[in-house]
Amino acid sequence: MTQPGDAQIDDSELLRRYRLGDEDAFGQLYQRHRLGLLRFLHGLCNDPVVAEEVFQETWLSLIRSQSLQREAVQFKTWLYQIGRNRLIDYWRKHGTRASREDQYDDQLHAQPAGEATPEQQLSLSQDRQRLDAALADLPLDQREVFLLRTHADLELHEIADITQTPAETVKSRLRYALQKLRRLLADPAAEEVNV
Amino acid sequence: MSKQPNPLDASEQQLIEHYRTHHDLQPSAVTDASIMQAASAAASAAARAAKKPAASSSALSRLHAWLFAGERGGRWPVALASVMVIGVAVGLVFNTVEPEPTNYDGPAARQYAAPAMHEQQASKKVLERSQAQQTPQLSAPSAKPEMEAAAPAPMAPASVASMASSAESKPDNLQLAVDEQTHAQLLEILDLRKAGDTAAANARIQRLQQRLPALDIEQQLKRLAKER
Repeated sequence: MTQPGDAQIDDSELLRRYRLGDEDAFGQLYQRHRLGLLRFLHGLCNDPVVAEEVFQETWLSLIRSQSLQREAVQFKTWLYQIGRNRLIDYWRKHGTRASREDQYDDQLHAQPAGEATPEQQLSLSQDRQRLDAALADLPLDQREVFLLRTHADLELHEIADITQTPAETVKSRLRYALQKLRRLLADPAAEEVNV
Repeated sequence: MSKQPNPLDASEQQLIEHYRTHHDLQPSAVTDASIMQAASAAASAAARAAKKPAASSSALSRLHAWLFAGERGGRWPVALASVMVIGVAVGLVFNTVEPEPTNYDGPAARQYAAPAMHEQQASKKVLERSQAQQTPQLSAPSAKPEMEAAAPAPMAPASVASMASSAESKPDNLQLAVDEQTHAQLLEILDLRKAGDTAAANARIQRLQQRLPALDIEQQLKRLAKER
């Protein structure tokens, strides 16, 4: 069983212990990643019901799988990869992929958004609905990168592995996403003017 | 892959933190319970499997595990191929074809072996024929023995020659190998030599030698001289 005080045990070791029958090891893994994974999925699909369904399928598929994750990949990267694939499968199965999930156009989104002033930053809305609405306005590619960076706390190269995208592309998508979110949250009317 | 430095400035990092702190979505208790229940069941099964190492360590189970491990198709093809290779090897060992000789020793040996066998059979035939000629003498001694001894069966010159060639190894049959005419001529030669007419004797010897090239005349003369 998992010993007390072993909070510093990495995910791979916890998974190994769980595969040997240590239930508490799985409990630690679940507590570490449950919130990040659910919020990542919810941010992608913008539907709490679908997010929770895919969230549950992701963990159950991990439980059923007898394999340890690949040596070169962190458990967290592996977990989010499974969740992402499950959500894509859900979209394919139900044909409900959002209309805003068009391919990201570098030319379109490379337009300068303008630097946010300190006053604008101070006026960032704390309204939950405004946050979600701003996030939903992002193209899917940018939103995915932003969510992986925000809720999974992944580095750029890890996000590149999950999305199978070059690291430079990931970097530019994250920058565009942050610029657009800052502009939308500072001035909600900006998006309406742009549109 | 080496980690890249964080490309975000302070304002961008602040925005990310803002999203983190203001997101309060959580899985429902039902979802948590179902996931933990499934994990508990799987952990119990794994623990039970780990407690039974003896059952999986038998030779049969190890063979089963080896056959069904690996890629999608398992290792059946490898096992089947191994059995086939062993079968072919055993077949080759027990059905080795004698190699055809590449030099000239083989054909020569065969050609040499056939005449030897022929000679053996020929000598055996001669022996049987001579025994057949002797048999009436032994089985019927009262049936004109003088006539049979004085008049042996006429023989062709070729058969006489072949019999004469084997006369050295069979001295008992020597007398039978010389016909009456030859016997008379040999006696004439002996008489001529005794009378001192060597030229006439040599002439007779030459004529006889021409008629019977295989006959050893001198030996026959010596034998007749001893018999007298």
